[in-house]
Amino acid sequence: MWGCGRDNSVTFARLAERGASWAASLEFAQELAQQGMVPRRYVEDLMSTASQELTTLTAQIGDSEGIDGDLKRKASASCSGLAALAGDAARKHGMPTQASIRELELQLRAMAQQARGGAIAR
Amino acid sequence: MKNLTKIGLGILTSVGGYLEVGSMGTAIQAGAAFRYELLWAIALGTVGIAFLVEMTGRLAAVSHHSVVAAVRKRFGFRFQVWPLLSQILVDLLVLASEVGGASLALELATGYSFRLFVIPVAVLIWALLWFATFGAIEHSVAVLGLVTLSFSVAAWWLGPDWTAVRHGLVPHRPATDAAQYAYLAVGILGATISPYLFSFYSSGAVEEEWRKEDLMPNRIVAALGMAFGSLVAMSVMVVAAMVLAPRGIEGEMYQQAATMLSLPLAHWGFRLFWLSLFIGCVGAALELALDVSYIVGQTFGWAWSENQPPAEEARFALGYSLAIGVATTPSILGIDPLKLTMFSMAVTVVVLPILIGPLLVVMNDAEYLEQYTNGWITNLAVTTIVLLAFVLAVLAIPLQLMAQ
Repeated sequence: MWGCGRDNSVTFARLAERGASWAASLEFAQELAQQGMVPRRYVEDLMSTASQELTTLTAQIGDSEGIDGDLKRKASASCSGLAALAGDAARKHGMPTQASIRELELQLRAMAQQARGGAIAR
Repeated sequence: MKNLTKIGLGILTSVGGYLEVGSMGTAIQAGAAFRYELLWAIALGTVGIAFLVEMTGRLAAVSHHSVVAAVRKRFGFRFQVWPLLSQILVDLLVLASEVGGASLALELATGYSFRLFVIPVAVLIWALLWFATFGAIEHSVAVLGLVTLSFSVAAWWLGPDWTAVRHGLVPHRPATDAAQYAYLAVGILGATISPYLFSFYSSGAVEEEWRKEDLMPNRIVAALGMAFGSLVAMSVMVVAAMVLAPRGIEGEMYQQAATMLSLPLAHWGFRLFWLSLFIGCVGAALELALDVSYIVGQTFGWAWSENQPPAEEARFALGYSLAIGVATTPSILGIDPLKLTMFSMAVTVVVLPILIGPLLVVMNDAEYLEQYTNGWITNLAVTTIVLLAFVLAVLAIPLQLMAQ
């Protein structure tokens, strides 16, 4: 039983980390675009891909089994928030503020850390 | 002098053609997730492929048989059907990954969806095979493939921690995510010991009419070419470890990894990334499509040569045309090229024993190799590496699937 809860926690942590990884990718790409090192069209393509992937991740986090409901809701909200930021930016050919992406990234990393700590299995 | 030229060209071909969608994708993911900890998998795979390439080159030089032709002759057609089906499956999966990778490279360059580029990429590959000769394909791919050395320049510029790099050359139990670690190790081994590499090499050696005088150049090219080539793949892992890992970027899709050369190579970094991906994938796709024609032709005893005009070898040309057509399907359906790559590499490792077992029997048969049969070191090294990779795959794939 412990092993099963542990597996669920690790799976949940991986999902949260993947969300955070997309956030980090967006931040890094924006940073490079501001220095003119990557083309703008690439950043827009990245935003659009990230939005789709993060929407899928939001659903997967929502379907996670054996995880505290509150933690699941928070992680889903952070992921869907990131998906919305990236999607809006891609549609408007703009860039979301780095601070808002960073904040959501840190939230997801903290939740992944908490899950890896193993104290959140239902 | 002639031998030196042959060795130089051989090493150039190995280095320029080493990096493709599998070796690049697995090295990026491994470096981003585990930094230098999976360098050993590239080193181990390289030892395996160097032995296999040397063996199959020796077989071609001494017996004038390709791998498939020799196995068919030794075991009969009924037996050869199973290795043939396994290799066609693997070749088509990897070919599909390469077509997807090249299309994705064009998405990075233009910002338009990779699905738009699948058919143009497939037509380009087909046209090159239709109009070019074996030598032209081999050498142009090798020269253009040298663009992948930009990863080695980037790794050198970034200045990795050499103690950690050395530590990574020895397998260690990871602190976390053992299943993902093992799955990535399997992926790297599958990318490095891809069966098409040695069956294509032996077919090429027969096409170029190698003789016993070519045994020494073959041995040097197999050892040095693969060693230098593996340094490029290791460089990809090092750059991913130094650029992506500290930022928490996992590189699960090529779009995430496309920035990895931008810090060390500035404005050139992004262009060199997609160019390396494109050239590496097109080069490997050419070899894979040809390999399908080679192995089918050699199994059925048809005429097979890339140097003949398609009209004179219609079945050979039909083989690669069909293979390219089938390989476009996953990308047209929108399956992510990197995810397809990881799956293809895992399947490759699972079927390796079916392909390499019969080859080892042939390589120990004096009827084919005369006094040049395998020594015990070659037999032991190849058997150990292939079985280790197989066991790792059987353990890691279900765990990874469950985790997902």
